[in-house]
Order: sequence, then C-alpha cells, then structure tokens
Amino acid sequence: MTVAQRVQPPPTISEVQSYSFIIRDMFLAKLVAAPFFGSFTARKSKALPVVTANIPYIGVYFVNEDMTPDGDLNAGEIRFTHYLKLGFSVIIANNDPVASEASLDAAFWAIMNTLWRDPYMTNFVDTRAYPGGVGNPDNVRIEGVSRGTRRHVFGNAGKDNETPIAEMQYEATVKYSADYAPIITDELLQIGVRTGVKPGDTPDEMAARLQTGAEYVFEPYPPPAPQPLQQKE
Amino acid sequence: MAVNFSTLVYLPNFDMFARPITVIPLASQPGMPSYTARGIYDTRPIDVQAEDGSIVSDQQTILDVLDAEFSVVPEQLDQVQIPFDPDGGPDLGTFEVMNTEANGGGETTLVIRKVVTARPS
Repeated sequence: MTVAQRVQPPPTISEVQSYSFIIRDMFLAKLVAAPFFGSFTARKSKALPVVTANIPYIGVYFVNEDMTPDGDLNAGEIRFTHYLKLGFSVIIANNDPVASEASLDAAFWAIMNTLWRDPYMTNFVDTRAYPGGVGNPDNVRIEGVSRGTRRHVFGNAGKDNETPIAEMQYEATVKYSADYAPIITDELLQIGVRTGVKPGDTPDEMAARLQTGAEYVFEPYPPPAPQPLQQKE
Repeated sequence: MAVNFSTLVYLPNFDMFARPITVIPLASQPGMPSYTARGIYDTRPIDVQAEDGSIVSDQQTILDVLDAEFSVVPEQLDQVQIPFDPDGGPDLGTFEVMNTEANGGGETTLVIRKVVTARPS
C-alpha cells in the first residue's frame, strides 16, 4: 500500500527568522530604494570592515533587543513586548567639514522621512501597498518607535585617519509585540462518550438498559501557518 | 654637550628618506604661491570605530618636514602634493594638513588627509 506523503507548505519567513530580523531587513530594503541612497553601498552586517571604496555607505545593524512581559507575566501564554534597537550608520567622505555635516544631516532626514512617514510599512493593521498589494513580509508590523539617538562622528578620536570620512550614527528602538503560544504535539482530537455503565452492573443488566453515546472530533491545532498576504481582489 | 638634532640626526635621515613635495600654503601663507620642499612620507593602517563597534578600515598618514628648510612651517588646512618620484615612488595625490606636531628638536609631523571628491557628490 502506498502512503501519500503529507505535503507541507514551504516555511514563511517568520517561521525561520525572528520578527526583529525581518524588521531590520525591510527597513534596509526601504532605504536602499530611496533616491538619496541610490549611490550608497548598503550592508546589514557589521562583520566586514568598511573600506574607503565602499563610501558612501549605509548600514542598518541589529544592535540589541530587550523584551519585557506583555501583560501579566504569569497569566496565560508567554507574551513579550520587544524593544529592538537598530543602528543606522551613514558614512560619507568630504574634505569640507561643514558640507560634510550637512550631508550627514540630509542622510538622517532621508532616513526619518523614508521610514517613519511610510503609511504602509508602519501600518498597525495591514501593511499592503497598492498597486501591487505587497506588504511587509508575513505582514510583520511595528507598534512604534520608543527612542532614538543621533550623533555625528568625524573619523577616529584623534581625527588622524587619512580619508575625510564622517559618520552619522542613528539608533532607533522599535517596539513590537509577539506571543509565544505553546506548541501542542499530543493533541486531543477526539472524545467518545457512552452512557449506561453503572458500577456493579452485570453485562445482562447493562444490556437491558437503553444506551446512548457521542463522538466529539476536534480540528487540529494550531491552524495552518499564516501565508504571505495575497493581493486584494 | 648639546646635540643639534636637526643637523646631526634629522638632516642625514631626510637626505636618505625624504621625497619632493609641493606645499600649497593656503593657511600658513594665504595668497602666496605654492613651493617645492621635501618630506618623509609614512602611512600605516588604522581602524576607525563606527556605529556599534563596526569598523572603517583606513590609513593614518603623516609627512615629516625639517623645520629649518621652511621659512613658515606648513599649518593646518595647508595642502601638500606628493608627486611621482623615481626614488620615492608613485604620485600619491594631494593631501590636506589636518594637524601639526613639532617634536622640539627641529622636525614637525604633518598629519595629512587625502583630498577626495565628495561622496556622495
């Protein structure tokens, strides 16, 4: 007898990566598409050193993440409010310090107006944009930005590096919520109920009594994994 | 007995290691024409710390000059061109003097920075 293999849908991004990584990636993708950063080298990892050939440069880095309980920590499933700190690094080269700082400020403003004014990516309900109906991956949403810090840095502390670089460092703490409901593997899928069994009865006595019963069948849990948003009709 | 470092120590070194340069005295002598001189070029790698511990890999470049060979020693925001030299090496381009550090013995170290096209322009 051939047993048909159960076909599993391919995992969606949020089954593999954390929401924080997804948020970082979608922020970087949004900035790379912005005209201001068209000529910039973009990276999302700080593992490789930036060399002068990479300038102008924009990096969006995962800095750290704090999690606090969402609601009563000892009631119900585990839920967290995540505070994701992302670091934006914009590096430019200019021998004129005044023009250099103006360029850094323009970069900061481009980030602010590209990310936080986006009505779809920051939507708390439905992130799909039209035409196209493309939204955030798996409709991952943020609730807000709880903190931001900006600074301008001109080379190393002694300012004696050869290339006239300047860096705008912007750190934004993004808030989102996530719940981690338990994964039940030994599911209760069926209950059978029968009447008429009474302690001490003989089989004949039980057979003489009118019997009834019921079968309760439950749907498996959890429901199928969420799929990426489809285009609206 | 006092030692004249400039003459006895630095001068022989400059005769051996210095290469020709052109100084554009934008700050030290505004309005004056550029002039030729010589200096000892040196560069070494340096890491510049950037956002959250990331690194920009760069060079730290200096040019030593002998004070006695200048009527006015180059200052911050002067420019220095280091052209091709058959003994010294290839054309290294134009640099801006970011800082000067005199050692008290007759030599001044110019901390220099490359003059580059603004990026983004």
